[in-house]
Amino acid sequence: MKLKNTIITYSLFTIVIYLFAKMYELFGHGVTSLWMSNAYLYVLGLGVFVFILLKMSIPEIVQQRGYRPFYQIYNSGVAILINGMLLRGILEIAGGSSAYISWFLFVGWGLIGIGVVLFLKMLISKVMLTSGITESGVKIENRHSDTHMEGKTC
Amino acid sequence: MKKSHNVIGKRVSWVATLVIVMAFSSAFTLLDAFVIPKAYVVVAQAQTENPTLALDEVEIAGNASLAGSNSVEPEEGETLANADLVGSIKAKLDEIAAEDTIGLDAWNTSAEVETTPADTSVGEVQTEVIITDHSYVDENISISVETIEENGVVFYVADIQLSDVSYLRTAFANNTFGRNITQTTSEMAEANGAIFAINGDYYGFRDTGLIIRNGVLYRDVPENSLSDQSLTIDGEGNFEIVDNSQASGKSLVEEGVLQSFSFGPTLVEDGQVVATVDKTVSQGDNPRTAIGQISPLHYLFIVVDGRTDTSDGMTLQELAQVFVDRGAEVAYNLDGGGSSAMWLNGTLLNNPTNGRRAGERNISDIIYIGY
Repeated sequence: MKLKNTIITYSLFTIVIYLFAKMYELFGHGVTSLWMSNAYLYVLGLGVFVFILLKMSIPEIVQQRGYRPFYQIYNSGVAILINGMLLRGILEIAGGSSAYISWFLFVGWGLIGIGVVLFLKMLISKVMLTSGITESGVKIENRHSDTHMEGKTC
Repeated sequence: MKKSHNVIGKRVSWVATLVIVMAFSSAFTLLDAFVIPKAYVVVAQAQTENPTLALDEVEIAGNASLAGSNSVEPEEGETLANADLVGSIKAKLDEIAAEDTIGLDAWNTSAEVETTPADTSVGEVQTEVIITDHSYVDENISISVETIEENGVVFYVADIQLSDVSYLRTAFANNTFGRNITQTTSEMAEANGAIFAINGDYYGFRDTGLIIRNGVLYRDVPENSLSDQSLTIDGEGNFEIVDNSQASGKSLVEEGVLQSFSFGPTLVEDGQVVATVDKTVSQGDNPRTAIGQISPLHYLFIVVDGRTDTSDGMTLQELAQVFVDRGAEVAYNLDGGGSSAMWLNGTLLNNPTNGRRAGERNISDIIYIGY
């Protein structure tokens, strides 16, 4: 997906989640939950800001090999994390709890972490290729980094 | 073109898979939290057969002697030590006898049939039970409920005087400790032969919170989702606020704690309002249930109607002030909202509602007065 579309999608989700939290708390008889009321900030930070940063700094990253796994795993992590936060908010407002909620948070942060690792790996690979160094440390002259790109549309 | 279709197909299948997995896991989590009943311990077994319980989630250590002592009547000496109290109850009994009374036939209480400690230890006091639509008095228990309408709020103040802490008891829905096992306050009160009952802390809606009931430790997991303090009632009937971070269920039971409640927040401590703004417990005007202690074996149980045209409900601070105004030294907030219910002599006194539907909510537990 184009970075621009990703940013728009995350922005829409930020608004939807903010409105959902406000509406839900409206019917909560004065009970609020930080997990629910702050969930939109996580979408804003982990989604909108991260991808704006990518678009501004390295927009060609979408063509890099390894971008797809990063994209899918990272976004899955954000989605599961936000889902867990909203569920925890619902339960807190109702006055309940569930042992399963921590799994959502654990898996969500775990996938985000894996996504970040994949991104860094991709970034390092890109830097090395740009400077003409192979993974084994051998410097290759006149080799273009495009050989490691999949040619996806940006 | 073909490659583009392939890419879109992969993306759609990834999104679809993620959505399906999240939908199922979320549905299961919500069903587990709100609907699926899980029985951990049947109370009769806990108190008689196996005082040391082992559950899947928590370590349960019942105290055999305490569990046993809780199920028997108080010793003669203990009751005689309350001679003054019995005298005051007798005076209250005479006072109420002068008022309008309902015949004993109207209320088939177990107190009439069972042999009570008063029969053996306070022989000079005749066994007499006087019941009105707002009170119950016998030689061991005095309950007087006042219905107050003030500033658009209707609330019910039960002034309770006991001769022994053994009459202050708790019960689980279906006599089973577990999650999502529920009955109404009325059903539990009737099932346990209660004279008076209010809703408890709805422990079964959470996985955490110290739970000691009738001297048996059922859950020793500190509360982490509501307030950070629990209320305990010891063997003398005294209320004490304990910090969840420092509370060990095992040691509390060994010290003689008979009951614990995990909801909160604490409303009154040392006769002063201490209720604070706690965002995990509803602020604003709401239906409330809370219990407080004035002096040894002298309690206030208060239920506030709310979310109706006739009663807005109370804030926690307002409720705390009601306790202080009536002389409470300690008071603790219990589950409120649609759970708030007060039951006396077979009748539900208040008007429970969750704001959308009137009627009693099914809950996990009650606090009751009875034999």
